[in-house]
Amino acid sequence: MNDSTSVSALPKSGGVSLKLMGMLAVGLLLLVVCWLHLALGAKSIDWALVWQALFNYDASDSEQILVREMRMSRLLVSLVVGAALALAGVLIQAVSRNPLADPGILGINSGAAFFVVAGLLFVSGSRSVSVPLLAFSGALFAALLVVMLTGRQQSSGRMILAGAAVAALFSAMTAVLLLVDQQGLEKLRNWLTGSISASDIRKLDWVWPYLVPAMVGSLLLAKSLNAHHLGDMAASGLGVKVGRLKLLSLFVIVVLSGSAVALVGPIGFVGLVVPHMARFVIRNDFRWLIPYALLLGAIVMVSADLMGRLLVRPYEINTGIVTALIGAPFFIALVIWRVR
Amino acid sequence: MRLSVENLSFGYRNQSVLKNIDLTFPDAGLTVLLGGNGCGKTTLLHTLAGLLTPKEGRVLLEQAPFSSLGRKAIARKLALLPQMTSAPAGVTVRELVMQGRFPWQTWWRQWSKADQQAVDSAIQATGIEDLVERPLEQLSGGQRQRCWVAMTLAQDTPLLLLDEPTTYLDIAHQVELMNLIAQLCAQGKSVITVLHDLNQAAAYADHMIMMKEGSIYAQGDVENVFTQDNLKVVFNLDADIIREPRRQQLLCVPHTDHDGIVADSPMPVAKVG
Repeated sequence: MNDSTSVSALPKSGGVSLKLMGMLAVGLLLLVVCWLHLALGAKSIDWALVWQALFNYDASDSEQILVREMRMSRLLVSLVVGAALALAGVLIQAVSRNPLADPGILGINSGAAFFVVAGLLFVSGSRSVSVPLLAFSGALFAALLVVMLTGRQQSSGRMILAGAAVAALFSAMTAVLLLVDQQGLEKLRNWLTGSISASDIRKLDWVWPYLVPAMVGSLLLAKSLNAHHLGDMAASGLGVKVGRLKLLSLFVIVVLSGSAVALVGPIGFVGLVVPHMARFVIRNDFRWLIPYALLLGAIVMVSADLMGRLLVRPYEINTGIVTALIGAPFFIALVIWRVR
Repeated sequence: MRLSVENLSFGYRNQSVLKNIDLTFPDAGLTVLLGGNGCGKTTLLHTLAGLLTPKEGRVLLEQAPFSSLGRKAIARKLALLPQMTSAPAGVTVRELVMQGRFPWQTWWRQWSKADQQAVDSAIQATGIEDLVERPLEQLSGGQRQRCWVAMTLAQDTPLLLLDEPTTYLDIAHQVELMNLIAQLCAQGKSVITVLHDLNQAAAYADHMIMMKEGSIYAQGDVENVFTQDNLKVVFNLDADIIREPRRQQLLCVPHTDHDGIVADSPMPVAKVG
């Protein structure tokens, strides 16, 4: 016979301290990656100089300027984009109950990119500040299209096919636009393969008013997402307004991936890979999954950007291409092992 | 009067599933909903849980219409165990049971002592102490079902709605679960459940409701409702009602002389019931 004390004596929610320790470790890893990002590149910079540039800045030293003005900006943008995409991935996989969902694979990034390109080419005077809004409307449009095409059955395979179709459609339409406008092509080609550059730091000012509420909002959704994970019916029985939860999540996903696209162009696979990494560490408690995914997303993005700069020194590979090179095999592996 | 419905109708498109149902559920004890496939019993249960909005009429929870209550407020009074429960990936039994406390938690009040007590006693009542750290997807169907029952118990509601709770269980676990439900009723909960096993229903029900084509055909205590005539009308079943020797409870024994059916059938399949 079990007496009541034997049950209560067990830890409340399975090793909170362990999860915090893990988070600390991931945080430290992030710091290391950030440091490498500042120190390494076409030109490796002495660690002491990086330290000086950070904490004792001398604006006359060209290497310190490089660290502070170029790499630091680029680092910040990578951090934000990685975190946003990873979070969008966690949410989109949760709401769709589809382990293959990702803003890139489902065409949401392509939709945002198309709207941005079309807006910049056709609407005169729609510069800078309107870019995030264009990206959001494109992301929303693409997301709704995928939802409609998937229909009511909620089949994972059908959703991925719908996403592939939407992604192909918007990429093709973007390509057509750029053929029409050759000058635009030169300006946008880099952006369209997902490139991070130091000058993107200015765009952070455009997106943070949307991005910060979206990130906070996703944390507020965590508990409801935990209940939603048990199934629509069980969640409703527990008092979750499932329809409202899905709608809110959709808006948050749109803002997160739209912001990332507005900043650096469509970057795929981060939203796919990072949630799986996070789940590997933390299983399926969204209250932990979301902060873990934020950190891991930042790590993956910063590492990808670093690799893009290191692999073919002194040239660079666009970050979006690096994530695709790493992410595509991962996607294939997921299809083979996770999806029946 | 905890739960009642007034003039309730529900339908999809042109097809009506529930037709002008008026019901008041007993405040304590086990109410069993019986009826053939597609008679609307699951739809009625879902309407009672607030998952479906009635086309006409209303559901009253402690005299208050559902439309005036928030979803969480309803979930603090009334727990639902759906028919098809899943084994969500990466969730341990403890985490599942803890989810039962969702409607009691708010932003300023997270995990409380009351939450912990409700979870502990739900785990004990269902006898799943040894499973709590196991991932749900590793359990057998029967074990999993007991864990889901534990989750609905942790919700600590006066009303429990169960949709065929014994479906995945072997006979010993079915009896165990039904005994648990009877015990909960004895403690003052009102439980409303859909059951498929007629004899189980007859053995445990305090109140029996038979549905046919979206309406209530008969209701009352088992002795009055569980009759040969009602079974014939509601299930189109020819059966004898006898009493079992130990406690003199009613049992139905379907007639098994099905020669005519077998003769007409192209495949030599025996159809029972």
